[in-house]
Amino acid sequence: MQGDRAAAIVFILVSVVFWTQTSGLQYNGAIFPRAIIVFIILLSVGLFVQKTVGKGEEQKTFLPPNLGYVLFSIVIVALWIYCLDILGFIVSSILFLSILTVVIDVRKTSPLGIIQVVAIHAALVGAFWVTFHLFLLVPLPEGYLI
Amino acid sequence: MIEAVANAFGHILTLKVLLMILAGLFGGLISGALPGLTATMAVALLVPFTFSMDPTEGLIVLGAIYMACIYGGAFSAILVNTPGTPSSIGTTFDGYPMAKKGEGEKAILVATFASVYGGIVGVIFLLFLSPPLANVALRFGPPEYFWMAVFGVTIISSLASKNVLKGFLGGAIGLLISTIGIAPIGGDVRFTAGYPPLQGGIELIVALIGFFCIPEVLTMVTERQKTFHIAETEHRKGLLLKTFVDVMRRQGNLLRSSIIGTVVGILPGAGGSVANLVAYNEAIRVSKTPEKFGTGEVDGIIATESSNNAVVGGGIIPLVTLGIPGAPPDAILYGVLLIHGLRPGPELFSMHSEIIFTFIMSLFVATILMLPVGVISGRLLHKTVVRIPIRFLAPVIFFLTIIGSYAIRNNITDVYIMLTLGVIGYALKRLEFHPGPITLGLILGPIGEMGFVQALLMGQMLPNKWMIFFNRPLSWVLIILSLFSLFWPLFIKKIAKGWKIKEM
Repeated sequence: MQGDRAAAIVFILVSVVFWTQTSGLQYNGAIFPRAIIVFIILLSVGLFVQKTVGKGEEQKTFLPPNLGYVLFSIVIVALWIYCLDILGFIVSSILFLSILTVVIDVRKTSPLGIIQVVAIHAALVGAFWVTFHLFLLVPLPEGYLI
Repeated sequence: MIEAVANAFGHILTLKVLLMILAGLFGGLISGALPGLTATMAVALLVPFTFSMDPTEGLIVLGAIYMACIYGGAFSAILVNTPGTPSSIGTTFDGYPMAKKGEGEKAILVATFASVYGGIVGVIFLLFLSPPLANVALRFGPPEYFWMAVFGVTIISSLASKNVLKGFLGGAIGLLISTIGIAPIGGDVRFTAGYPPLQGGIELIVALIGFFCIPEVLTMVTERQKTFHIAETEHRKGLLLKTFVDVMRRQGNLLRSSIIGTVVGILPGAGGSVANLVAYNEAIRVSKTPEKFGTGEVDGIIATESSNNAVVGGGIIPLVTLGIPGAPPDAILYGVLLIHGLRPGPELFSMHSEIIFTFIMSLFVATILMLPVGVISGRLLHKTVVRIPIRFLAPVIFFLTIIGSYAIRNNITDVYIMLTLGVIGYALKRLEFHPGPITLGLILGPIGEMGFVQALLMGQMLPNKWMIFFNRPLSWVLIILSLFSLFWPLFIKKIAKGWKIKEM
């Protein structure tokens, strides 16, 4: 079973989960979400039928090229967010920006190249920190370090 | 209105505001030049820079960024054959062939003059159409607000996706996400899974950053090997004036395309990405030499660039009159208005007319300033930014998404929500669900729910409470518009078909 039909089933399942959550709500709080849930289920059934009877092209390339890099990037960004409160904005940003840059790079990065990458990101993060923290007075995450 | 416009100019024509507009234009030009970075992403990523500004200044800067970003997309389209934003897809058809023939500078100048022209037309429509429309919108009651939400979802769902079912599904998913948190009437806590930070609901800008930026940057990661070949351009003396005269002689194309852009902008939909192709198709249809299109025809660039910049003004019309964003970047402006405590909709004109007129006139000034900024710095700026490698660009965009989603409420949970919605958005993008309907659903959800439940409460007085949705003339106007929007995709398909034939 491929992309669109699988998505239709996922939407129906998620809708059912949402529906069960409306059971304890008052009429005024439940009526609108329930109407939307019914709408989603109907549309999902429509999508499933559309793709099953063959009208409309099935989405065949759900998995992207370089999937490993996509997953790695997501994990790194999640770790980055987790570390913001621990390492602080500056340290965590320089660290994870550099990791992402080195990993995404098509070429093999030399030790000197890594130092250059860290230096560039240190300058960038520093510039942002000064701009936001000192000039614009927009709060940035703070941790045990800076 | 004349007094309001004069006051607005008084606010804008100060050194501080003019410098802000210039900064916004530079930011927009850089963002627009970067293939893969859409105007919506650019506006969303640069929102945090406006947090410490007052609402008027914030809107002025974001308006300038938006306008310049749409224009900046033309540079990449002409020099690299890759549209910087989807609004410039049509510009590649004639822009790049001109650049290949050594007329790159002329193509850029044509795009500049056409963009300024289109931008001005859009702003003029915004200025003169918005106040009367806002007056009509002020008569809306709960049933009308409900139907307006229905209209918004139907039209964007049908426009912004190749598959209408997927468009509606996207809109419905957005509506459902909008119901997370405390119910607007009754105060029930819904769909929070017992997690208290979700009681306040999903912050709009956080969701917009997630849905618009994360999928794009993850796509960039998958295209990490991509490099761009930049067409060389040669500077020619006297070209500026000659090109100006040449462009201005084509008033019919300029005006037609600008009006197309404005109208497409007013209809809540896919914005510049649709407008530039519709205008291009019309330019071919009207032309006496249609066979020249696609080979480096000046009229082709004029059509696409004047229409996409006219979308900016046109798209703001429904935002400030009905509270519905006309084009995806307007959704970000919607969020920014909310952050500053302003409710997008007709009340803007009655309660905050000074802010709104200053914003409109700042768009006018930004459009005018785009001319010198584009001519003097644009080409050099773009040749530089297009060379930024993906290995640096993608991490920096991640960095900006983190800052943007954190800075709104100083809350790490928002950053996690942004990433989660972004990953969901990426999966949906792989399945060809456009983020536009989802985010519009998010915006229209609270408006629709409030209207729906309040109307039902009003309907208690009637023998059949559901008749409240059908017994008012304004409701019927919106119902008819909603029905019309359902048939709009057929019209668009017909136009797209014509365009594809020409492209071949």
